[in-house]
Amino acid sequence: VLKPDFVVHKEWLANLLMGRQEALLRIPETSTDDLIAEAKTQGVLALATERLQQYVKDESTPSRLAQTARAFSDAAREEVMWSMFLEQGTRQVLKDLERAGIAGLLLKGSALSYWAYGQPHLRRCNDVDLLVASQQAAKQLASDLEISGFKRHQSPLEPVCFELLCSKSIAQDWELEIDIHWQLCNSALFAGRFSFDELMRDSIALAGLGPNARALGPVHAILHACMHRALNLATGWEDHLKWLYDLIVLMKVLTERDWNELSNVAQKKELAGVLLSGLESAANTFGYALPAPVVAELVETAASERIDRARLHHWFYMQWQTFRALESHRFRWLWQRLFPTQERLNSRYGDQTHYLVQLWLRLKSAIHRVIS
Amino acid sequence: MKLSDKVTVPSHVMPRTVGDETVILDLANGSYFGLDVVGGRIFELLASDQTLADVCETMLAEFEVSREDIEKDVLTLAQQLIDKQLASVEA
Repeated sequence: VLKPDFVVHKEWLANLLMGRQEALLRIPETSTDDLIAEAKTQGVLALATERLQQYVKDESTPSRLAQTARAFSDAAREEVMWSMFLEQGTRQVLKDLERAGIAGLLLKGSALSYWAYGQPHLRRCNDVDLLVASQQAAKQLASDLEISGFKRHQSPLEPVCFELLCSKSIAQDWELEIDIHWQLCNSALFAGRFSFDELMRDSIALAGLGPNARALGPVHAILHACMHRALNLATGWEDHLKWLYDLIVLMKVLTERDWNELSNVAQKKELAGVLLSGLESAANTFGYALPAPVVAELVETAASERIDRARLHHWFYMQWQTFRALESHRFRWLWQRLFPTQERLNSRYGDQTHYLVQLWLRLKSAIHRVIS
Repeated sequence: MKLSDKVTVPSHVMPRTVGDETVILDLANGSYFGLDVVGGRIFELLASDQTLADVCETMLAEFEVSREDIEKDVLTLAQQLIDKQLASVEA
C-alpha cells in the first residue's frame, strides 16, 4: 500500500523513538532534509537525534545511518540552545514566585522535560507554562516579571481565558514566553475540572530546578495532556508525536495503583472518553499495549459522558460543548466569538490586514468549519 | 595561566551534554561553543572548583594521554574559555 511521504516519515520517527531496530535498518529513501523537517514539525528532532546517536558508536555503523545521525545532530543544536534559554527563563520565574510567596506548578513540557525525559532538551517546548492558584496570583506574578524585563500581553487565544502571557526578547532574536495559568486548561470546557489544591497535593518536586519547583504528578499530567490534545484536535491541530510521546513516557512510569487511580479520577471528572481517546492514539501510533481492564472500564464510562470521544476533532461540536460548559460567561463568550478583539484577529491573520477584512476571513473560516 | 590556578565559570554560562558533544552556551549573548568528549570532560572538571593541576591528574587517570599533552590541552582550553569570557581566573 502506497503511503504519503509524511506518513512514512512519521511512522519511521515513531519507531525510532521507541528504539526499534527496523527504524535503523530501514531509513526512508527520501532526503535527510525531509526527515529532519518532519521531526521538527512533530516536535521530536532532539529526541530522534539522541536515539540515532545511541547507535552510531564506531566505524561499523552503516554509512547511511551515520550520515543521517550527523545531519540530525547538526539540525538539533539550535533546539539544545533554545532549551538552555528556556531553562534559564524557568529558573527566573521560579525565583520570582519564591520571592512573591506564590505557589506554582509547572505544566506540560515545561515540567516533563525536567523529570520524564532524562535531559531537558529532549522534550521540545515553545514556552514556559505555569499554573498558580488564582487570577490574582497570576497578576501579581506578571507584575513581578515586568520588573524583570518581561512585557505583559492579553492572551489572544481564547475569548474567555484563564491565562496571562508575558514575554521578553532574549539573545538570537528569540522571544521567551511565560504563560501564567490560573486554571489547568484555557478553555471553559475543561477549566474547572481540577482545583489547584488537589493538583498541588499530588504534585512532584523538581529538585534540580529549585526548592519551589513542582510539577503535576503523573496521573494528573496524563489527564492534562489528554485534555490539551482534545482542545488541539478541536481547533484543527492533528496529533503530533511530541504530545503522544509524552503519554508514552508518562504511562511507562505508572504503577498498577497509578493506573487504577488514573481510571478512577478520569471517571469521576467525566474525562474517561477524553483520556481513552488520547491513550489509544498514543498506543496506536507507537505500538504500545494499554492495560485491558483499564480500557474496558474507560470504554464503559465514556459511553455515558457528555463529551463524545469520537467527535473531539469536530470544531462545531466542541464549540457547542464549550458553550454549554460556560455558566456565567456565555454572552461574553458568544460576543467575543462573533466580534473578536483586534489583538486576537491580528494574532491569527497578521496585523497588516484591515479589521473588516480580518472579520470577513474569520466568517469564511467559520462557515467552512460548520459546513465541513 | 599556571597549573596552580583555578578557574570559575560564571552563572550565565551553561553546559549541556548532547551525545558525544558538550555544548557551552553563553546566555548573556547567545554565543555557543561545542567541545568533544575530552574537551567536555576538561570543562566539567574546571567548573568543579579544582586547580588546573588537579584537572590534569584526573584526566591522566581517565584517558590514555601523556602528562605533557594533557597539561598543554588543559592550559590551552582554560585560556580559550577566558578569552571568550566563558570563565575567569579565580583570584
